[in-house]
Amino acid sequence: MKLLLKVFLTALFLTTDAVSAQPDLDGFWTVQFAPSDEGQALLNKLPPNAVFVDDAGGGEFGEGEYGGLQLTDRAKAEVEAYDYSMELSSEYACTSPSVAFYMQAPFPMEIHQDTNLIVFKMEYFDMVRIIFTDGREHPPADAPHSKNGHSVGHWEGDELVVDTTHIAAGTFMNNGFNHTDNIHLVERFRLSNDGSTLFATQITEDPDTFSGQAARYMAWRRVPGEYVYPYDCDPSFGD
Amino acid sequence: MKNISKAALLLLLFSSQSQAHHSFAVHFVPEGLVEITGTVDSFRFSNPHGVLTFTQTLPDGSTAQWRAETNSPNVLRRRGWSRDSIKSGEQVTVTGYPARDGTSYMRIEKVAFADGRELVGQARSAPASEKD
Repeated sequence: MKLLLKVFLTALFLTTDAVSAQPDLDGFWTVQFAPSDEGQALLNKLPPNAVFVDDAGGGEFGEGEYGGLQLTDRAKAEVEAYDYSMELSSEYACTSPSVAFYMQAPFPMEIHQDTNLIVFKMEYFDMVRIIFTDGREHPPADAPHSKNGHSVGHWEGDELVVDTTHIAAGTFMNNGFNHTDNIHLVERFRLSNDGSTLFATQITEDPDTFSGQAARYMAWRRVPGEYVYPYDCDPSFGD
Repeated sequence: MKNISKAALLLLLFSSQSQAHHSFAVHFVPEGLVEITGTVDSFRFSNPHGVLTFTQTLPDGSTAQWRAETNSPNVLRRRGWSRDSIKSGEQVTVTGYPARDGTSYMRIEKVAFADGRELVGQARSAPASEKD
């Protein structure tokens, strides 16, 4: 009995120690536009053949520009048929984007980190995503999809690696270029050495929409005492 | 090796906050601001965009109705805007990015009031720290 207790306490100590050793992402984060050398280190880890889509954090592409991605015939046809005027309607006004788009939008977020999950509370469209870090797997492929998708994460040293599937179709570039519900997203998050800045890269694959892999880079700075405002989207914009 | 391009940084300077629910780049002309003076009819300050409607009186006495959208009110709240910032009946001069389709529609760059007060919306040259 004593031995069992000893083993249990040792395991508990090791677990607690491992958790406390993880970077602390808790807090309010607002988009940081200035590049940094520490962020570049994460960029250097992107797959060499990934197409770097240079629109995150406030930039965007106009009509017919896709950041160097090669669209599939299906996606080309969809974009050509896209009706931009519809975007000003009340029906469209509060259509939320998916995690593949909202993570790079120029709005702040709160991160709440626990042992078995991490919650990202986004200001943009009040989206809330949960990243399970308890070792679970994704649900079966035919499970329901959502704009937040299903995210599982694990730590690789100081980096949080998040794999997201089951993402419902949504905008990919805000210019009529949409992704399908087959999109697969992998993100890497890393804190700066002083803990003040959070860097992330995003790698997406959606073979029904574009060839190969697309990559984006984001950064946020921690702002103590701030909090996310409600977005409370109001569809009467289109009235 | 990936790098953040100068083009992207310029894009950030000139089109920051354009991403809300629809694309700024698709719907508005980033060059060539328009400046219209008129009387406020209504001001709605909720996401995804605030909307200001106002009436311009033309030299011949006829009038033109304008609709001007803001970038996200959440962004503007942090710069001091509120739902009471603009009131019906006020005289305003609205500077903005015109709609690509040529309608009387614009994205607000700034609103100037008769008393000299100004509200900045989607600024062309705001420092990066104020772009979120």
